[in-house]
Amino acid sequence: MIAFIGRRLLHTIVVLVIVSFIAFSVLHLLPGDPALTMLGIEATPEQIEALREELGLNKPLVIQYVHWFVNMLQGDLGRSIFYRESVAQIIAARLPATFFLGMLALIFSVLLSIPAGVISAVRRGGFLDSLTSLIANVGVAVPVFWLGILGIYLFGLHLGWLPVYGYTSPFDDFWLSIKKAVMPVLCLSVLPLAVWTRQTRSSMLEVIREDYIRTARSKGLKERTVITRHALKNAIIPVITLLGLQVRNLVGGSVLVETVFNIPGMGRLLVNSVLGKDFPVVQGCILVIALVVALANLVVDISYGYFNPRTRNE
Amino acid sequence: MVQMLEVRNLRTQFKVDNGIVQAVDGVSYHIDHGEIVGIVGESGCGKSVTQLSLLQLISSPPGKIMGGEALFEGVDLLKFKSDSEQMRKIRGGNIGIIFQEPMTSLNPVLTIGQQIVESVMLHLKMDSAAARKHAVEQLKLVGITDAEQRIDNYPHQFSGGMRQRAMIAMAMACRPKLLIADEPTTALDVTTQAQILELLKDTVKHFDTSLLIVTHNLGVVARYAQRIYVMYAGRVVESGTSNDIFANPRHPYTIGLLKAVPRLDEPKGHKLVPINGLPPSLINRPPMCAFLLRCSYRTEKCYQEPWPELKVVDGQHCVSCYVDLPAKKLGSGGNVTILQLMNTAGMKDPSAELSDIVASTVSQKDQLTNSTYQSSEEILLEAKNLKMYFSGTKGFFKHEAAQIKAVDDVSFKVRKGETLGLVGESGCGKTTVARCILQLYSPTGGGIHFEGRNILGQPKRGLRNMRRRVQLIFQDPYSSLDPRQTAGSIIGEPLKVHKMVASKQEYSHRVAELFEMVGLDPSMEDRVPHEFSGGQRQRIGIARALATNPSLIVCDEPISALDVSIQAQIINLLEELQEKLGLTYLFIAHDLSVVRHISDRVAVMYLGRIVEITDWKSLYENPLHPYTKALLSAVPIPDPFVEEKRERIILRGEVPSLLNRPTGCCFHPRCSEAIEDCSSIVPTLKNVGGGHEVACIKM
Repeated sequence: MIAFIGRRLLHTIVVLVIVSFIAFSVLHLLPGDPALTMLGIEATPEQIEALREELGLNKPLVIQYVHWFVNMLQGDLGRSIFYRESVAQIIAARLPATFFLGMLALIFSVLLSIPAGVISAVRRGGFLDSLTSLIANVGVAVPVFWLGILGIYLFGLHLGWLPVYGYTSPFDDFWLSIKKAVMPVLCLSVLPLAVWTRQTRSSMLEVIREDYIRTARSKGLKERTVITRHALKNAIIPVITLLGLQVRNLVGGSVLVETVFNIPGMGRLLVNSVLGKDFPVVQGCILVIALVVALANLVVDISYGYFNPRTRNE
Repeated sequence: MVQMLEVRNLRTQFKVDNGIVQAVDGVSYHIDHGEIVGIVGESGCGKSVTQLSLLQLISSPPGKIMGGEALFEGVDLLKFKSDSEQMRKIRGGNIGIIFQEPMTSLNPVLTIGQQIVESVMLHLKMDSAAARKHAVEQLKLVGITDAEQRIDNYPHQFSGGMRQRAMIAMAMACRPKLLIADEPTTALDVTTQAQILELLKDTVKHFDTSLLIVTHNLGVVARYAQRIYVMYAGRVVESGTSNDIFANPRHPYTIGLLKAVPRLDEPKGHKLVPINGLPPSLINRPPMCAFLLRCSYRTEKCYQEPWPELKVVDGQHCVSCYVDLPAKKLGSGGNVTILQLMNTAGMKDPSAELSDIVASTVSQKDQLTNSTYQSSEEILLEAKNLKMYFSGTKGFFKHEAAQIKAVDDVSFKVRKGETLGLVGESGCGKTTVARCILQLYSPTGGGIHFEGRNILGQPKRGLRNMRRRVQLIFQDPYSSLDPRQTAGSIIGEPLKVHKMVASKQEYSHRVAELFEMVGLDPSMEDRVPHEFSGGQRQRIGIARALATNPSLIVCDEPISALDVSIQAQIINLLEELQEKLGLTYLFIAHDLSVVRHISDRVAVMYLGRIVEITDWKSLYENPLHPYTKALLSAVPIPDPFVEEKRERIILRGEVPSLLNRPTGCCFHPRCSEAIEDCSSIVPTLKNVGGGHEVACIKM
């Protein structure tokens, strides 16, 4: 098992190095002089030269990458052009909001979707199944920003139950934090909830037909035991794979949700930096997001080994 | 007297899109304390559904039990709800069941121990420590070595035979009064099958449990069952003691079934008598006898009256047929020789029509095989020291791991016009040999000479002609045909690829000819594979192989996916085509009786090597290699008299993995005659006279 985790860890590191290279190349893949691109056409040659010097663009590419990479390992992601601040500090300030909302959405979706999928599969064709499937299908189809705006109008402006925008840390004011989080978390959860429910349902339906389920029933086990102990443990395996993939989508969703609810998080930072051509920040965001997604997949891979003994190498 | 289990008039049906499948249609049977009873029938005859119905394990919907009673010790099980307390007590507690596929019948994410322990805790009310101890004992009882360690293994760490042992341990763990074995050995190799059947018999004897064996293989029940029920199309058509059924079959279907199977102990050369036609569709079936259209004894009455009830003809012997086929008096079984027995059962048949066919083909085939055998000394195909190694890779940097020697130094010759049978258990490399010959694999070493030329290492263009001359018939007619291609285009495609027809007319003429050649109606050419039955699909596969006028056809398990009554049709077709077109076959199979029937010479493979090769007669009558002997003795013969007297060699262990092939002679760890040198010296094939070659250092 330790060897298995070690191998996975190695994979993750390789992936991160590759991503770091891509993030680094962002500056250089763009046509033209990066310094000119950043400053715009009205910049004077002196300004351009100064920026080139600051970014180290005068040195050979490989040296630049190694330099940048070494700095990155030390936590130095460069300075933002727009904010004139250390990128690491900017990200450190924005990350908690995104992380908080993302984790809540993840936990909420998992806790709701898996039981919903199981019940739906067990009562296949029944009322509960039809209802779940309908909601899941709508959930896949509805755009997140539309749902967000609808929520703001209904619960914020019309009913006045919930605050309509912003983020408060749970350590500052727990209840206000939760109140502000309700709508963004719901919006973020809609897609993964729908996808996982459908996946759990179809995976369960497949497993229920397997011979070993018949074997379990032939032993005289209660139907509940057959479903939870024998069927779910098998059906959950493909769902877990999807779980890792959906973490990536949560990041994508955070861009929309943070924009709609005006939350100072990573998603909005990324969008603003891209639009403002603040390349050091873009690079920093890409790295952090890649790190989070890679770690999520690492966790998935390791838990995969727990759930599926066949992938454990002897 | 109250029977242990008495099923009365059980009816189960399934709703499907275009009607109702009457899967079980009024089946009655019983089994008493300590009895071993067999239920025999082909796929779809309802034999398994009957068992699942009485345990209420059929999925509902679409399945539904429509009526009948299942009295277990006098209590009707069908009165209970499927998930009720009482029913669950019966399942696992009083009636254990083991299924066909040990691969899929065990839960892959739970350890073997967990799966045994849970039912022990449930039925025997033990705590988890005691249950675990009990489970270890069960595993020991079914012959699993190191049970204390193996109990924490997952199913995928067990071999096929061991999984079935674990299944038996699981089913027997709570000391059921009845054990139902649903095709317990169908998915297993023949030597493993022999082990498992012996184990089943010993286990039920040890615990005084009744055993119900459900199977399609008549041979399996002949040795063990005291009474037999033969099922067809959802009904019992004949029942009686084992001797009644085998020595004196009275229902036309039973008679047909017994004659359709080649046997190890019958005189060779006669043609198999297949049951004509196809098993009926059970959807919205008419009320007449379902065997009617395939029956050679049918009378006017059969068309007019509903399906006849089972009626007693002699003691316990019951038959459901209007035609009263006369009983054959055989005297006491002990005094009858095998040959006499066969003559009585096969030749003096009441149906003149059938015995005519049998009689005429006996001599015909004998002459034919003799003549072709002698006249052609021309070697069509020769494999010389063929080697096929696969290298597994491992780890992140894909460093080379162990090499798998799937085929290791195999040499054989196939003469023009003959059939070389290649037999062996799964993993012995027989299919790999076939793929090497067809150039689907590039062998690691050695040579393949076809019509005198080495075809290895030739450029692709040069292979084209060879591909036309060497064709393949696949094992599984369901997955080997493109589901979206019409039958006509499947068969005609090779004609286009090899530019063998000049015009459209010639093409359609040739396709029609090929259809007729394999006994299919050319008007069916626009249908797609799923509109054909299994046997018909295999005919399409054969026609496709014939399209390019090949001289050699490699048949890779061509009949093992088919029902018994259909197998005989395909074997006969292959034999007819060989006579008519002068084909040469490399016939790969695991069924030794079929190989014996069809082959002129036979090669036996074990773990990638040929251990014995000779003409069929010497191999079957005078097997010299210990593995061949064990293999032959493991094949069940559908005849209780013969089985009673046969000596059995039960091999220990199972076929080892190619990854850790034993040193020296790879058979030595399982060989009862092994001496010390066997573990160090690799035996080569030695001619012991008359072209009989054996790879054993004791020869």
